[in-house]
Amino acid sequence: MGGSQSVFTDEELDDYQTLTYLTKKEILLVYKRFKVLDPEAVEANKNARLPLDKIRELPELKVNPFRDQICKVFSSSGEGMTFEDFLDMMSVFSDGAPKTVKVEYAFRVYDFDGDDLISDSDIKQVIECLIGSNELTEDEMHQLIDNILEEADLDDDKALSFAEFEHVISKSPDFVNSFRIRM
Amino acid sequence: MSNLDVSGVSGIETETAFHKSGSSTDLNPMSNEIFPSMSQFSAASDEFKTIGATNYFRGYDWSMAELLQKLPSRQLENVADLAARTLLRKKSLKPHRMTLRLSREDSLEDDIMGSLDQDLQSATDLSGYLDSAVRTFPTTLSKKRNIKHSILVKVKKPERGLPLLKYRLNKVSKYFTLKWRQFKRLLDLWRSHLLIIEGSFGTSVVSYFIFLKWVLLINVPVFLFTFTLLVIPALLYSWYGSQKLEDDVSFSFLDLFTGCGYLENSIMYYGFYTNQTMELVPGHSYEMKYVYLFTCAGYYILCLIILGYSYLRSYRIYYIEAGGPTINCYFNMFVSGWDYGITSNEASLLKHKSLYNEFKENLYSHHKKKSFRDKDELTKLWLIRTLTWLLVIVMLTLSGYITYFVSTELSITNKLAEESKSYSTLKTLAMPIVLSSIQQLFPLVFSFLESYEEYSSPKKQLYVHMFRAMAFKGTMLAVLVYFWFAVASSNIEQDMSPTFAGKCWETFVGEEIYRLVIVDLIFVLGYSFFMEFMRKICSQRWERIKKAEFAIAQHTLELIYSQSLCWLGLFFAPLLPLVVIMKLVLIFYVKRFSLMNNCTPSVKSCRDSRAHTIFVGYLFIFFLLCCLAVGYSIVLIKPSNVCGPYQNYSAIYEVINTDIISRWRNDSPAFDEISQVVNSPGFVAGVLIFMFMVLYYTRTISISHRAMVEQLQLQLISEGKDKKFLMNLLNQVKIRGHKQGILHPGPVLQKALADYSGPATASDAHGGKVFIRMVADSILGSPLPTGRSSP
Repeated sequence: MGGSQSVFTDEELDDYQTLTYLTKKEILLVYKRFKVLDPEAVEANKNARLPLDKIRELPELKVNPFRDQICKVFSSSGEGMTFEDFLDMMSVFSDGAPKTVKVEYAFRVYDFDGDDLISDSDIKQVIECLIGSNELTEDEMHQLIDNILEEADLDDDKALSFAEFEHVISKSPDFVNSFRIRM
Repeated sequence: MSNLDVSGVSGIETETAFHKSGSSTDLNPMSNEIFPSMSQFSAASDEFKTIGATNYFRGYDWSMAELLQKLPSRQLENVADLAARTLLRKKSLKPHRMTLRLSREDSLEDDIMGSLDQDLQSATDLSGYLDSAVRTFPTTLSKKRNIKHSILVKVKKPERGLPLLKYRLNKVSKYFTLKWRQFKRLLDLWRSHLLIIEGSFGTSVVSYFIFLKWVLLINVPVFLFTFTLLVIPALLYSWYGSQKLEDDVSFSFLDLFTGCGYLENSIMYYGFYTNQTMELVPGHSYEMKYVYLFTCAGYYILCLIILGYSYLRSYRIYYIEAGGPTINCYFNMFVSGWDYGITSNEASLLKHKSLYNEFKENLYSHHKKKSFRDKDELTKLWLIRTLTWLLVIVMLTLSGYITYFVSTELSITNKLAEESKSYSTLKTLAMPIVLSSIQQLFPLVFSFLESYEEYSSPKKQLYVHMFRAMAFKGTMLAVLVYFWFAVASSNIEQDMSPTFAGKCWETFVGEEIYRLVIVDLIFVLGYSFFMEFMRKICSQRWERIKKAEFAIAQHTLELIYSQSLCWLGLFFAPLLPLVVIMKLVLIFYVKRFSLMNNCTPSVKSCRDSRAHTIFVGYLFIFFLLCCLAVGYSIVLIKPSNVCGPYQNYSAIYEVINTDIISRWRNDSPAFDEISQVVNSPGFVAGVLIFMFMVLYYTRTISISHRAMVEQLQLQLISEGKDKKFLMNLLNQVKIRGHKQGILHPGPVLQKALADYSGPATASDAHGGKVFIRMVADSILGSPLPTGRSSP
């Protein structure tokens, strides 16, 4: 801890603190976790861009079925993540981030094809991620997608726009608790 | 495909357009229901389906995508974006939607800057909420920084007057919120333990530990309250004052369990506190009888506020906001199924499995709901349920009777008093042990009964079980309270036997509760040892026995029971919160150890926020009942004459009535009049009526709101169908025109669309209807009316 304290100047820490939902102490914790992923590269340059393979080694991401999507969403350049990207990610997943911000990012994570709509194919992919190696029959999957759409798709266009997603998620009190990585 | 103008559509949209067109043709029968008079159009679309197989199909997709892009609702979203992006809106701290396509990401910064610029001219005191506003922008950190810096350059610091004051206040409040956040983190007890538990067992198990921590934290201020106001003065008084300490009783280890002996006349209990006026500092008197009562009122009110607030909060979140006409169980699973905090591989595999099971289970019950049970089955089921409920009630009565019997036989009558000392220890502990064993055994019977009741979902079964278990604990406590207040309070002082000589009944009650708390702790530890640790040992030897699953609901109910004991005993044993705090700390470490070493994660997920609300609800109800009991004893029961702060009063409450209020009355006649008015029946009735009116009013409003929401939802759905219907219609016009070699089916339509795709302004916000009318006009007025080709 004492070592990482001197990595950042006070101004940098203040800056990070105002731009994220984390306190200084938490920012240093995030740095520590970032450093663990690739000690040598980060030691050499604290703003090193770590390849996504390394980022996926983070224990929470390692077992997360949406890790590729998460990496895609938070990586600023599309390849690899810098410390700031990483900090951004941890800020969104932190306890301090408000629900609205979390909803925004959850939408991006679940929007696999990136077309700004969660369509039935996106839903299918999400369900496949959720159940992992277990398999549902075609019929069950179809039924499931229909049920989800029935609940969430207000204007009946067989896809969830962000407005719909945000509206329905307000009725899911568990969302904030689950979309969170504690530190 | 190439003969249509599609230059504006990107590759990504083709895909979605494909899904859309597929689904919208499927849904044509539905639009039939809404527009029965226009059925010929859907007939036309049926005809179209056959054409769809030809190469026009792709053309259909493309034009559909184009049309979708031009829909007013899409335009509306853009308008809403622009409006929300202004900082003025952000004053309400409502972050907004800015997910833009990747290709547009670069221009995002410019967009935000542009809109911020406008606001800067109208508002000067932006800096206060600038940070929180910038934080909500869903973009990368470096871009956020750029935005912030470029805004900060433009923000002028106000020079004087009110703006300057506001500016400074903002700075100060920002500083303090930051400090508070850092401080809160320090207070965060057991963070690393909770992290480990969450990582390997998920949020449901960790919620038990968080609940435990919360209960513990409630006890801390209560303890500080009693400690500073009651315990310290009483101790000082007994050291320096005239009160004589009974030194003849030596401390023995068993006293820790029974709460008698050495502890009996200690600061632990009510009896120790004196009724004399203390004068520790000359000239300042400290009247224990007032302090005791007001401290008691103070901590009960504090608990009421904490509990009431958290109960209402979780009720609002989980029932009111999440409630409404439907519960979105599928979407809920979809969106909050995964625990992002899980770190262990084993837990993730289990999570997959449990989600899979849950999906299956829901689909299954969905099917079952549709297939009605036949009448015979239904009657049989209801018969069984009535029987089980009857049985449960009988068991409740039985448990109440046992409690009463054990209490009267063993606690009061001194049949065994002359026996040896160890035997008397057993005697004092008999009541709590019997009670705790019943509490372990009866729920097992309940679970056995529930297996025959066939509840439609495991959750329902869990709730019923929890209700029964709590009713059961409640009955036993109620019987005990009756016994203490009605039997013990009158018997003890008349009893001249050596056991109760010079003892207050209040102290006796305190002791009994202390014993209940301790024995409960022993049983909790015993459960961990026998049911979790021993089972693990057995599971290593025999394959058939599996490791125990962590019983979240049961453990949480035990916590609630233990906490209500604490509230019940607070008045009679002011140091009880300390005992409970130590007990909870011990339970935390034991359970944590047992969980990590002896338990397996449960396949059934109980990550239910609703369950949490129910737990807090039970805690709240039990708290109110405890308050009621203690309040009853304060107002109506005669305090003992031998010891305690209220000797020679006919009721504790008399202290206020006779001493304080009469003194005030003599001091000021106005107070007398006010108290007379407040006490008059007319005034009370008036207040009651007023409250009922308010209640009625809010209820009416909420009902009407609910009806309104339902209507709006219906309207939304039907408008969605309208849209789909019109889209199909419009598309047919296009396709037909194309078929007959006319590229532009209707100049009016083209013009209408072109007008619409122009700059969207806020005045278009009501555009849905206007758009539909325009499209309809254009179809009717077009040189190629659809009517000619459709039957």
